[in-house]
Amino acid sequence: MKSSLIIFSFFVAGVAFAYSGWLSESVDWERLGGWTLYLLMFLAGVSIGGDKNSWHVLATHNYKVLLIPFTIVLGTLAGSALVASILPSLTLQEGLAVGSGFGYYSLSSVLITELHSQSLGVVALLSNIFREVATLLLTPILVRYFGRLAGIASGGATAMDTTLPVITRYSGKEYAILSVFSGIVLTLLVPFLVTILLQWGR
Amino acid sequence: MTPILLSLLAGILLGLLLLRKPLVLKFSNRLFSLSVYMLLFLLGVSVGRNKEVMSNLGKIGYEALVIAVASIAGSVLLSTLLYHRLFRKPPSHEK
Repeated sequence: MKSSLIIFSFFVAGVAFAYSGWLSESVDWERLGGWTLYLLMFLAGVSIGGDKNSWHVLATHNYKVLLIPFTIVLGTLAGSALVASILPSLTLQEGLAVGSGFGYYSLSSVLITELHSQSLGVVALLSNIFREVATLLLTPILVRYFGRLAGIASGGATAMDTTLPVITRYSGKEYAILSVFSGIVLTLLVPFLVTILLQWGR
Repeated sequence: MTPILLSLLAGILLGLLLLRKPLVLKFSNRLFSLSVYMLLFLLGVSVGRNKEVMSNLGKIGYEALVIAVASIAGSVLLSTLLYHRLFRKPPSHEK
């Protein structure tokens, strides 16, 4: 929650600076963004590859546990596809790409901005922040009515860190490891899925 | 294979090689957060200048909210099925 506030405030600061005309025209997303994105993806890779925990968790669990992130991917894509088919302003591809952030708003919004458009990047930023905040607020209710996997499902990629405390509290300690596992798998999937979705058919 | 995925894969490989170098990894994570901050600031700047996006903020927020709600609903509903089939412990026969 704290980190999402920090990240969101950087975005808002950028909007405010530009809108008020304080910044010179020389600061340019197109020039800096494309370049920094490769660095960002590379560094995201380093932190994934260098995380002892994630390899350990991935190596020591059976198929049953793998069904958790799989179910979340399926449910998320089905939900996003439904929305995209109802809202005339969104194509199927756009809806799926935004949903595939699984709450990992920083990486998915930057990636979508670069691969698609600024407006869809902002949709992704907001939508995935909403997913995190809603999980923080609703997990107690979701767990009560939909079972102990509900918080993990709602949290998506954030279930490994930012929403882990609330999930552990309401689903129980034995679900913490499942939550971390599912979050790690989804976090790993985000860059691949978003890139593949937005580049299919091009 | 796109350059973006190649950068990611190269990073994962390097990260694997660096598994025993916590200081380098810490530095890399720090750099990662900094570049996220910078990119989102820049995204904010170009959004602030982009009249089309600024005048559509309401629509953008609405789409974002609806996708978030549908994503959560879809995954929570499916997870309920999974939970009741495989995870919920059978009722115990003890007192």
